[in-house]
Amino acid sequence: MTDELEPTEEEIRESQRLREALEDPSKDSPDADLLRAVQSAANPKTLDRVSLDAAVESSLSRRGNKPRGGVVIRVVFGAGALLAAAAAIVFMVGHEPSPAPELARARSTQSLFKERFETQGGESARIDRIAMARAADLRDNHYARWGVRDRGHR
Amino acid sequence: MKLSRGLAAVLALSMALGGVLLARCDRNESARTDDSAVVDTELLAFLSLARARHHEANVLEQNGDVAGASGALQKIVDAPKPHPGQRFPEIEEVLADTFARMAELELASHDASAAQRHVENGLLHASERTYFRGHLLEVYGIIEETRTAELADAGRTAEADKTRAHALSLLREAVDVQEAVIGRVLDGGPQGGR
Repeated sequence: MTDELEPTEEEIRESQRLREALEDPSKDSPDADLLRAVQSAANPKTLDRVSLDAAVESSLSRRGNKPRGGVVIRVVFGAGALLAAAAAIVFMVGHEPSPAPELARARSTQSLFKERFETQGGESARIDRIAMARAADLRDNHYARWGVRDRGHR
Repeated sequence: MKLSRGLAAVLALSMALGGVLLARCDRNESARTDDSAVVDTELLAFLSLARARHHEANVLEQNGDVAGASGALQKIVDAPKPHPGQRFPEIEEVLADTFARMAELELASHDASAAQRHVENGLLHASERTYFRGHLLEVYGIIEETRTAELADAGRTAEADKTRAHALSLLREAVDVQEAVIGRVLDGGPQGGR
């Protein structure tokens, strides 16, 4: 029981090392760092200018001087843009445009008249027939453009 | 000049995209083969105007106002035509028929010279062998027949003989055109209407 209460030489050396590390922060000691962190969390001190500069300097010197994050972002966005452009090209080259709808075109009205014209008169009746036929064509063209139906569907 | 690699890549990409777009435009253009105009609102507006004027002429003619009827038809001739520089067979045929009717009205008013002018104008709009051309030739033949009678009554025998020969020529040509059209219709010729 007595042996268990007496510190070993190793424990005494570690204890000495910890005390020195707590007194001198420049000395490397994970236990001292942990104790200081606990102390700072429980009772934070005002950060003086020297300590702040030292911390920033230390951090930058460990990471190096080049801002690597910017490079990574540019590479990622550049690759994304190239992929998008490639996809657009593939889509545009490979995707056939939908065919334009077949539309009624201007043409002779001759076939509206199966019978020979009267010797005199009849012009008024003929323009009636022409106007009505082309009005139907125009309606069909509207429907075809709207994609409602084909011209063949009448 | 030294371009950055990024700028060079953007330029190359832009050129590639431009090329693709041009190729697509060319492909779309080459797909269009029919040059005739599409039946559109402007064409219908003209046809509607012509129809209304013909019916206006009907009303005036029935009321004995032949000059007013002729004036209503003249407004069709004078009306602005849709898509200047573009030919619409429908408009040409409506104009040809309108001139034929104006000629008939003038003939009924015993003005053979005015009737002849209208027919000649109408024939400019009916160069194809259609009923419209045949009808104009027929009206022209009737005008010449009327003039022949007038010249004969006036004792101008030589002129009457010449005009009679012209009338016969026109009426025979009218028959030829009508027979050709009838033959096409019976053969199920070109489907110009609906």
